[in-house]
Amino acid sequence: MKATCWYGTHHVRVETVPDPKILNPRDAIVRVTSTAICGSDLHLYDGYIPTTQKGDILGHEFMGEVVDTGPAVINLKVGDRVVVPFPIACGNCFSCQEGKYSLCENSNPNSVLAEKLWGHSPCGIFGYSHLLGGYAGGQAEYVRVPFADVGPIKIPRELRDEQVLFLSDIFPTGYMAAEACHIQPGDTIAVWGCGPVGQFAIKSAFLLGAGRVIAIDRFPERLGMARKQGAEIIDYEEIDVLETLKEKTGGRGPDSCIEAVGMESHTNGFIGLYDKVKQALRLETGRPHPLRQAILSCKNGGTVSVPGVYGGFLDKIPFGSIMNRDITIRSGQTHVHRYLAPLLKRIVDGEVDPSFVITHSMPLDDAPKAYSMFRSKEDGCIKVVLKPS
Amino acid sequence: MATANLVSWAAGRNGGAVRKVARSLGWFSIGLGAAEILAPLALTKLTGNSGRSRESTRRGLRRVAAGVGLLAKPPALARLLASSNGGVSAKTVAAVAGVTVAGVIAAKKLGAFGKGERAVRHSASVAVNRLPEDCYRYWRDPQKLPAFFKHLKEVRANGDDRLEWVARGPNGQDITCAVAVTEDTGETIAWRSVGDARITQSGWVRFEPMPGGKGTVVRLHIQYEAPAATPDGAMQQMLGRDPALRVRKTLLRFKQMMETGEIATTEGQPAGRPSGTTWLDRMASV
Repeated sequence: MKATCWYGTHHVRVETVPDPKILNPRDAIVRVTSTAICGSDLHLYDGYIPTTQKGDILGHEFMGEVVDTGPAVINLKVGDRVVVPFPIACGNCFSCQEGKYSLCENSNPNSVLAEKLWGHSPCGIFGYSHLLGGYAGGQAEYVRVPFADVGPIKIPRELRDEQVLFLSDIFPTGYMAAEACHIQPGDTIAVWGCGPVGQFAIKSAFLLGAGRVIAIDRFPERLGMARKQGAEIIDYEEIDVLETLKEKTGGRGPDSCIEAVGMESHTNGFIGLYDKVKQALRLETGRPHPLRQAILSCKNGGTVSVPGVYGGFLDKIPFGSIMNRDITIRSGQTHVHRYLAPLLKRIVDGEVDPSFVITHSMPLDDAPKAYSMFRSKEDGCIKVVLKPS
Repeated sequence: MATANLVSWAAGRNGGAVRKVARSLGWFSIGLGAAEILAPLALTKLTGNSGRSRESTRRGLRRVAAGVGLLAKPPALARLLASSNGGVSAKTVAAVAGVTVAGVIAAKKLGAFGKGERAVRHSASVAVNRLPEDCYRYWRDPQKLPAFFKHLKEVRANGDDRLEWVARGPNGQDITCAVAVTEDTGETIAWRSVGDARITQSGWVRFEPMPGGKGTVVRLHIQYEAPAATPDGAMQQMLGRDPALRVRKTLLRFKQMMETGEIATTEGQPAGRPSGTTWLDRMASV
């Protein structure tokens, strides 16, 4: 089959590799009909995720048709159309039974590696480094799905791939980030980063009752998309973010702040340079300036929710501000499984059509071009869907 | 002596630096040996205890001899480390220094500085989302053991409290070992290898209920004992690359079997390289 493989920084290729096989009783094989490049895939592409190895098959946002099932998978049959959550979860362990699927205690075969870096291990994730299991990803024609009796959700025929594909990651990720803010009716929520996760965070904040959403970015097409959703916008290259947020909220700051940028943020001026140098020298593993801003601008007693991806250690995080002002920090890989059914219902009911973030659709063969385009935000690229056939 | 053995493994080059290392190793060895001979004497004086360890003296003498050997014949060591090139690179020195440290650590781990017997012990625990009696029943079933003791190929039961472990040997041959269950309370199972094997292995596992009926804490303790004279090689072969990790991974696999009925794996998956797994996955799957 054809698969998108990683060979180094800014180096991915579509290679012919063997087809996946059932390896465990609870596995299924899915023929991928649509897959997407996630903003977090760019961290792999840019070489910032340690333990990514040459030849790894990328991709954790995908859906398709079941073509084979292991003997223990009784809920799915060949021909079922499914969306697969990006975290791999067993459904049996303490974490899964609490609904914290991305903290599954059994799905990362390399948990002992993750423990060395993070103290404890989260779940395994498709196509996201060997620290997170080394699982082959779904930017391919076929993919092996472990614990297929727990993860995949069946999709009604009348919905198009584009409407449901993002249940695999970015819709639940934006939703969980907004949910973590415990939004009260009329709350003001600030969102850093208007990429796909930021867009779904904006959408979800409104769904959960926010009165105002203030979106922060610098790309006109992304700010435009946010404005279309009803958000007020701040172009951080034009105006001072902290001052503007104060001014917009009578000096109190937003009730909650969502940081949907992550480790490779762009920042102007001295601080931007400082983080760039430190990250290049591996003295910190992320450039966290939006996170600093989110903390400093949040109202007293508010919540900073972080769906942005971080891998290791950050510098100059204003912890004094967190402590003295009773700021709650919420983060975590998304517990996608628990959002599948309720968010699918919102799609079926016509409340949300997640396809609004898609700007490009390309054949799988063009994955290398798609990565480079998405990274440099060429041609107004916000979200690319790849079609294997 | 472990240190010297390990030094001799180093790939290196001829020259003065090697001689220097050999010399310092020699003195180190003599110093250590002397301490082992003399310290017990000092201790005897202090405590007024008349008994003293003959083993310690013997080992001390051996160390002194090894040290003298190294001092007298550095060219022999140098030859071991030699290649055609006459120069000594910083890399060689670093490598030799590295294995020296590694040698001391390895020797310490193997209990070479301990008492008359060398023993290696490792413990770990894991929380399992199943009742203690389920965990106990699974572990007590000889047929289930190979599912989570990765180095075991097969376990045969000989009556109630005798087992025959068939382990995968390092060169592909099977190693059979007779094991007696020495304790079985329904909460604790203990076992010990029997027969004339030079290295005795034993262990126990305990299943403790977690507070609030939430599940079970499974504690595993594994121990290897051997006479002091057992060569490092034999010990290492028995223990594997990382015995502490092996104990922990055994428990993680047990948890996976109890909770999910399978062991999470990527072995056999496709990749854009010859193998679906990499050195990282192998490192993590001891």
